[in-house]
Amino acid sequence: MKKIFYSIVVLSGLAVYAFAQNQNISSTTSQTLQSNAASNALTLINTPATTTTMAQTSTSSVTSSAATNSTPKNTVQPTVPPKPTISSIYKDGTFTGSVENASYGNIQVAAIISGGKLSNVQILQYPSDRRNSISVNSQALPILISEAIQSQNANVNVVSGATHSSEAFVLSLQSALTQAKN
Amino acid sequence: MGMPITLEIVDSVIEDILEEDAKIVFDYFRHVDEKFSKFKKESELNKINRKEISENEFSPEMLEVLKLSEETKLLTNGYFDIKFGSEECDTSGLVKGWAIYNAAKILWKRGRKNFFVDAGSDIQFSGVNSEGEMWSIGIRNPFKIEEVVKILRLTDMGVATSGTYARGQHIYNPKNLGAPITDIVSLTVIGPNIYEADRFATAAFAMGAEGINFIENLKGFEGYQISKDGIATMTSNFGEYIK
Repeated sequence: MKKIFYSIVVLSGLAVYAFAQNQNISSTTSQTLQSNAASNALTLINTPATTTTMAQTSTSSVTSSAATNSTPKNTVQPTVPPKPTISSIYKDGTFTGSVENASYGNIQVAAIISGGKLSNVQILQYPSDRRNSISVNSQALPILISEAIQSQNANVNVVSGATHSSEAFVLSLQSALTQAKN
Repeated sequence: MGMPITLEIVDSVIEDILEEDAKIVFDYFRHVDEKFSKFKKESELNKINRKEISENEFSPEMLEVLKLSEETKLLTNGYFDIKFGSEECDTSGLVKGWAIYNAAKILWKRGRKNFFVDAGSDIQFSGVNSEGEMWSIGIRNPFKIEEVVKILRLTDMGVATSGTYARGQHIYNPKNLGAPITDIVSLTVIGPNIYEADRFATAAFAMGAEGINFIENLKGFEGYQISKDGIATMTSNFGEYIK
């Protein structure tokens, strides 16, 4: 069975579209393919794609990935804390970021700079404060099963997890760090 | 501002066709991003928000998304709303699931049967995986992103997770400092397709702890909610999808 596996990163802003990496997993049928899906790449990517791909074993597979990327002028990568190389440009203190819309509510963070480095990020606003205005009928609800979450050990095809807030989070943090600049 | 998009197709067709599938799907996502991005100055959405184009100039896709947004707002008691405070629209709470589902429709139309389309961890599944089994999906641990806390097996459905950034130790409710916070950090919804799963995950997450009850009352949907204490609550029939 043939399998093809692609991934890209779509980033908003200026589209710099690139063929980022190319990897093959081959096996019993030793079938490999160099993907040219992104042969119309315009510019080589200058930062690595943040995509995580989970490779899995299968009888025969082809893996490749391409990425689009952009570098809006005032954007930090969603990795916190930022790289030490840029952290030294900040002055110490607590800096409040802008309020950003996260689709289901607002997000606002404060950056705490200590010793020229981002030492902590405080969440000042987050969407779940909207729970104050809940109007859902809570009568006649079944009792749902609860459990403590536990790490699972198994290979999976794909993972689902929270990403929604990351954009608003990064925007708010960005504005806080801008204020913290020397 | 990245959104990783992953497409995996396991059908037995020649590579050239799979290459073309991938190109068409990714071109489609770029097209959607160009139109609906709030980070692209010249997107149709931003032109609308700047009132540079009037309603009779809206593209059919924009009109469809706005209509679906209105419908979703009604279905979720207003918890899903593309307008916040101002008159500005932000369609991102709906467009992602809508676009993933449209991408899956493109693949189905092209005859593909066994695949998934994953955009930012919201996923449409079709058929079976490369072992000929139902797809396996891990629910990410919101406190440790390299871990999964639940493994699901399903097919021909959508799985979406809404959640907050894995936060540090300080959490505040600015409206009520000092009040205990029983907030939810992650809500995963299984639905008949990714469009449905995504829009109801977004809305139910905004409801806080009540969100899981909202999902419980939706026919054809199951949910798994994780609180900031690491306690998960699941809907009545969620267990049917646990591996």
